[in-house]
Amino acid sequence: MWRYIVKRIGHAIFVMWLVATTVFFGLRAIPGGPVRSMLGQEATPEAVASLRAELGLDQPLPVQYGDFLTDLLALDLGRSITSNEQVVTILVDAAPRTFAIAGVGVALGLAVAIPAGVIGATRRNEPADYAATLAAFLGISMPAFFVGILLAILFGVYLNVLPIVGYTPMSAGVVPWLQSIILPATAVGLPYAAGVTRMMRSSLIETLDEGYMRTAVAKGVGSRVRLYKHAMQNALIPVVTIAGIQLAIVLGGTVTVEIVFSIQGLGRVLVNSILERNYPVTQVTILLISGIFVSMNLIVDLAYTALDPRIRYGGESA
Amino acid sequence: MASDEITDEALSGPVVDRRTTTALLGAAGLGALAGCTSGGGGDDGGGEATDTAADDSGGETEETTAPPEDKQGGRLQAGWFTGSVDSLDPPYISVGQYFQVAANIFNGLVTLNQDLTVRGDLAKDWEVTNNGSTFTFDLREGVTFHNGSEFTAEDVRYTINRTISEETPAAPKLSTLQPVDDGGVVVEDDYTVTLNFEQAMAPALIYLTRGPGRAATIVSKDAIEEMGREQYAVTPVGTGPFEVESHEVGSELRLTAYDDYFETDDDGNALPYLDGVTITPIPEPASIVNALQSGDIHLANLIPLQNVTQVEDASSVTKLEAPGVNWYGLAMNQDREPFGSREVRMAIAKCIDTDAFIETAYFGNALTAKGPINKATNWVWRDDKPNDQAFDREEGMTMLSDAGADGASFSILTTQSSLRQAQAMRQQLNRSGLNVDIEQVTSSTYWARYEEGDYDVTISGSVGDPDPDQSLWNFYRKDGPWNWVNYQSDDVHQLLEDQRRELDREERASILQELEDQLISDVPHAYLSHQSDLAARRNEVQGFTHIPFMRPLETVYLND
Repeated sequence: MWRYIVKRIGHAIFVMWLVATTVFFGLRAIPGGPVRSMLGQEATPEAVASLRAELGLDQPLPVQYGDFLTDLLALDLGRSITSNEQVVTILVDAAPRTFAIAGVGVALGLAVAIPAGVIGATRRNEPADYAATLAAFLGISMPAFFVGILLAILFGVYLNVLPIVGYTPMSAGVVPWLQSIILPATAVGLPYAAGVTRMMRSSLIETLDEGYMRTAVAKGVGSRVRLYKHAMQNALIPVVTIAGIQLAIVLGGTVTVEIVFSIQGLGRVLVNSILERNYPVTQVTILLISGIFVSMNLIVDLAYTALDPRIRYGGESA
Repeated sequence: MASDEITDEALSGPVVDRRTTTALLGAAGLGALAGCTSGGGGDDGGGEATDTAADDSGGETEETTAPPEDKQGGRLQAGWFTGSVDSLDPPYISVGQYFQVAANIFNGLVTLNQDLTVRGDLAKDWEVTNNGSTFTFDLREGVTFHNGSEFTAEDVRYTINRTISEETPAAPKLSTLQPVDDGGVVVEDDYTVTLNFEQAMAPALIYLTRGPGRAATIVSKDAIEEMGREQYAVTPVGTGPFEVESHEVGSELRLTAYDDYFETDDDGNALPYLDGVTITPIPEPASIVNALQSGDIHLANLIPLQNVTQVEDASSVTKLEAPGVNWYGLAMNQDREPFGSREVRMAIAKCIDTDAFIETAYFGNALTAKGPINKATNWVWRDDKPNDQAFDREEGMTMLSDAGADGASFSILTTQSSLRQAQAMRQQLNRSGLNVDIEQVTSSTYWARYEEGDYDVTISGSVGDPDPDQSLWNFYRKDGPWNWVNYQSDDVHQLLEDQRRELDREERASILQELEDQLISDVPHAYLSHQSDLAARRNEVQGFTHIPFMRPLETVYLND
């Protein structure tokens, strides 16, 4: 068991190294560097050369790569090339915004998806089911970006009840904070809800047809208990799996939604830094995001062995 | 017409008349912060606004309609059409949208009026001697930086020395200044400073304006030494109407009115009227217009062309429009075949229906260009420029086929931000039997490839040219830093030299016109358009003076 854990952690570190290396060389393989974006067209070749030297971009690639890894191990994440801010500061500012949007988005999504899925499954082929299915299809086909623009026009321009630009930190009050993220969170939450609704519905329909459900009917178990205790518990297992996998969709959605609502979160930081060839920011942001995914996977893998004794991993004799 | 020689007297301040100024703007060229690399471009121009008459009697401030007593104060929410305002350190700024902000935090020695006349800013008066190569400035007394330290002639010396010695992007603008420590900048006393150029330097004043000038936009030595250059670029300290309260790059820049700002309106009321300004970068076109309509922002510094109709239709919003001080053309790389041939370039120019191009590419928000000189530079503009490049597809196609270039295949290099123009161009060229595709790259890649000559054609030009000089000077000299079409003409090279030395304005105009004729006929670019400058405000925003290339906010107030 311990050997397995050590092996999994080693594997995770290897993946992170691979990501770091790929990002490092990948970025530099794209033509165009950061210097011209910073200095503009007016800069003289001498100014360009001296800034390149200052940033260490005139060094051979292997040297730059060595410096990059050394700095990374020393947890020196460097400064943004364009604004000179510490990369750590940028991420510490940006990450809570993204997590707030994603977190509220997921909560909203689940709050909509599970009831909608249950309605769809229990009132199959009734108007309520058609409505839920149609809404889910719309949600799947509309990207978060587009939902965001629609929400901004509806709640900002027409109803004029919610702000559509910027982020208010929670320190300014929970209500203003919630007002500033409710639209972006809805924009990422709805497409997420659509996927979960469909899974909830089909999984519940399948479960309701199981033999043990008929047994429950025969035993005279009440319909509510049947649905919420016997059926739901079993039907939720694939839903939880999907809900987890779909988190990637939520994080992907925040990238575009942050741009629509002008919120400087991780997604917008990443996109801007790539466009400006802001190497330090791009590298660290990608490492942070992949770090989150890698550690989530690690935790899930380790949790399986703890939660379900039937799950055993290789290397141990049965 | 009287002859308009730029005499020392005419150059001396504080108010230079419009005609002299436009002549001056020329040699300096406010122009071409070209590229405005990322962030949506920074061209602009005038617009409806309050009256701003810089009368000849020497008023030092612009006339502005003072707001009613109870309308003063309030915080303006402004949207900037860019992902972030990365640098506010004047000589380092290379993006128009950034100095539109910086010009609200800093002052130059001089500044521009709405009609492009020059007026005193930190200099209250100046004298030009030595045939135009010596400028002596009489500085305002009692001006303080936002950190409380006093502004003196030493700050001018420090600023100019820093611009040059740190090789900032603005340094080339002062390349003809004598060495700073060897007569270039002489501090006569606390409030008198003299600049000495190596030769007559009529355009010098333009480089010294706040905003587009940037070479001598006065920075605070104390603040730079205290916080370091990096931090200074984010939260700078100047002498301007607003001071930086906080700046989260990419998120929000909060400016607060500087209580001790020296300038007042005509009635003696303190400027700025506002309590503060919050600038939010909004890079998404639909979002900035929605935010304007919803009232999340009061002012948008630019409006994306595709959203102009939405702005025009919104009852709560007023569009600000002015003719642009820019030009765009199809740059054809003469190192690549078939563009080495003048006949082929001319044929291609004739195949482009510029009116249709403008309708598609700019939603009609541009003026047709026959040559690179824009209409805002009145003194050198002609309505009757040569029509060599005028649209005539039939003749163009015949010329192509005579040159053996009919059906030629090539690609238009473009970025996302000018993709629409590229598509409109492809449509025009393919209609003429050419086989053209589009190659879209990111802006960093674009600039790298454009500069290295790794492209066939691209749509290029100068985003802000209050005088023809700077962009033409940089684009068309044989070794010009922006001569990426590799255009080699001895005549044009010489004419560019000549017009810089010519102090007589009419003479200079005629040299520039001869130069333009030569360019139209040589076709280094197929000239396309002068794009209009568009911004927008909500109706409650009053007092905005729309100076070309600038977004000054000190006279703005909210009339809720």
